[in-house]
Amino acid sequence: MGSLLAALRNSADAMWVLQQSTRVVQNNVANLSTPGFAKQRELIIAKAFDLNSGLSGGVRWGGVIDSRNQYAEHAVRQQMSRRGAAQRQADALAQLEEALPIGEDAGVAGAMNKLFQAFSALTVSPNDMAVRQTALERARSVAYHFNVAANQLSTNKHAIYQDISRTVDRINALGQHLQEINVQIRRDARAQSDSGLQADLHRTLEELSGLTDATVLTQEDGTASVYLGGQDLFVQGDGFYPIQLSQTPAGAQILGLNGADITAIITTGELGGLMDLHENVLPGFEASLNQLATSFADTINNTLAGGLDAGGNAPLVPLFTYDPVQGEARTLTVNPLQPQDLALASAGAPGGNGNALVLADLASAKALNGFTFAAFYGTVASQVGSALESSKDQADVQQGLLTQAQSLRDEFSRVNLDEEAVTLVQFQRSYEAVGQLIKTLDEMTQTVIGLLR
Amino acid sequence: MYTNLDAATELYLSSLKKVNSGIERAQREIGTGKRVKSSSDDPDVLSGLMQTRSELARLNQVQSNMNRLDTEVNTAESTMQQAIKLYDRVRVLASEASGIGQTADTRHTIAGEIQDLLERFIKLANTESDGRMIFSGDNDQTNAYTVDFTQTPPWSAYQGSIATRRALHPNGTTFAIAMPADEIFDNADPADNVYASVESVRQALLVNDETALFAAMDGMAKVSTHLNNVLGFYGNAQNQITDAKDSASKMQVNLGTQLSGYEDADVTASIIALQQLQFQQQAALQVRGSTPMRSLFDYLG
Repeated sequence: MGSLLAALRNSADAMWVLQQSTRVVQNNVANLSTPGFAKQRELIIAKAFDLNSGLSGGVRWGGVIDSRNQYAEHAVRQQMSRRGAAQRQADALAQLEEALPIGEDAGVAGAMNKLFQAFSALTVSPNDMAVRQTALERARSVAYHFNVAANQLSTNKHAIYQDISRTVDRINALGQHLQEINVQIRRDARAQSDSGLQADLHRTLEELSGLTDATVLTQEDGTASVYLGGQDLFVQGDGFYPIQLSQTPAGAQILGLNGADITAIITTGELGGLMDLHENVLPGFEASLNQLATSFADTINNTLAGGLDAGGNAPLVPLFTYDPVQGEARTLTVNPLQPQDLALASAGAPGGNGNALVLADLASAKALNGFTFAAFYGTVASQVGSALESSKDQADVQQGLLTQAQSLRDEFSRVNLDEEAVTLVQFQRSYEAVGQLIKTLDEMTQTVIGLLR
Repeated sequence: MYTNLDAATELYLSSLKKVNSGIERAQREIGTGKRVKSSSDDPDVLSGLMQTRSELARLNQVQSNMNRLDTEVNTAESTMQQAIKLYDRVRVLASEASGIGQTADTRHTIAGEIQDLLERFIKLANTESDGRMIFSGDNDQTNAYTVDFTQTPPWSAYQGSIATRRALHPNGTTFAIAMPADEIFDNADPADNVYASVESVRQALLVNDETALFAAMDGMAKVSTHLNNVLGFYGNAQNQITDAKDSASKMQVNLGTQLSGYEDADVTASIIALQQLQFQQQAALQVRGSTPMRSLFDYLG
């Protein structure tokens, strides 16, 4: 009788264990699309069975096992970070193409061509005031297009700075959330096996990795420690050390723990990509545009300075002016000259076209690093195009690598509906079998009780 | 950006995006005929593209300049033709006046005609073309001479300047296209001075001085040669302008070909690429749409 009762008890335990297992399957299926969720498997442990020693066997519940693979998770975070940097740069650089147009007669190049054409026309009629006026207007057009290009680069740079600020805010928000998760984990040891909390933790870490260069270490208590750039402490236990964005005359800076400048170690993630654009790439384009504006203006001014105006006098006021502090391209303007002030005659030959010939010839002169002005503009536009092309290619490559890493991770931890269905059927059959066993044991017990009456 | 999609779906969407991007580009190339519209289309060619456009713009203006100079030089050449005819008339009149039977009165009459010719000579020096006094040198907004027969000489001092203006050849060299009126008509060398020659004939006829008349006639052949030399100068300028226009045309054709190579699309290739990409797109969408979304759960009773 005692063994029958033990068998009944064991069967009841088995039914409970199977119910728990079914709940694990239910939880997996419910979280099929939950970001960061890793499928769980029940741990069913056979109890000791030795009839001679009175051990009646059965099963006991051993908890759940998380299928998450830390190596696969780390690989995904790493690729997220790299992809984030490349994709963000590609998106930002696409906006920059408009600042340096390459269409016929468009932008700075088109304006420069038209000015040189005006100088060439003046070689035929250097004393025609209408043609001189046209030249002045085209000079103003050149200055205008330089201003527009510089302002667009500046606007883009400002927009990128705003993006950096939003990204820093988002990173800090994620850091704070990680801190809250760590607090929960520390508060309750069972939280380490809480699939929902773990899903939240890993989703947050993955999103953080897309935004910045984050190194994650899992501590013994199950909390996550995060270091930015592998060095700067960001989150540890219930401590959170937010980063800050600072604008200095030297440029934008990311400040980490204790105000340390961590800009140099943030190289990947959207933040790394944006910072590289803001601090290196865009200033490079701006410097090239300024170089072109300076060389163009100085060359024209110096040529005019060597000639005579319509009155036979050396010019007193240059044609172009700019402010190197505010930026040559942005501040390039034409002084308020009159048509007769243009010095188109050579010294010693007033009224002639000697200086107009020199000015017209500047269109073909390799006056800037071995390039003509038009060709140099082409190199600046080419820099933008190359950077964009390169970042698009890089984004594609990184996307492919990320997909590979995600596929590998999915093999370990993604919920597979077919697998869950098979498991469920298995548990269902087992439950039915145990139920049938209980029914049989009950009948046997009734029989024994009947004998005792 | 973080998403909830699985790796396979991400890969599918990324590939589809590339195909769609390729379709957009092919359609744009077919529609515009241009392969390079923005800097990322082909960064390597941009420097050459900009330079070629700049060269073409320069040559277009040079052509326009040559057309204007053509008009000016043709006008100058035509003026010189007239000047030669006028001087030939002066020589004929001088020869007539030197003949036997001429009287003081007849010579006085001939002197009147020569005065008219001299006045026309002086006006020739003030020929205008395209708003410019073409014989006034660099001072091209001013008449070269004024005339007043109450003065001696009847023509004013030269009011223009030296002619330093040169034309720009497409190959970057320059050539002279103008001579100043003082050099043509009022040359410092008396042997080449048209005005002085004509005036000396006129004066001789007015006072009926045969000796002075014959002396004036002796120098007229040299002056004629001088005028023909000036005509030759403008003829040469016309030739150089024609050569410049031809050179510019050839260079424009070459540069046009070069530019086309940089920026024009191969429309046939773009059409084929578009067809292939559209097929790819449809296949990808169809396959994805046909992918079974069922699992074992759908078959459990």
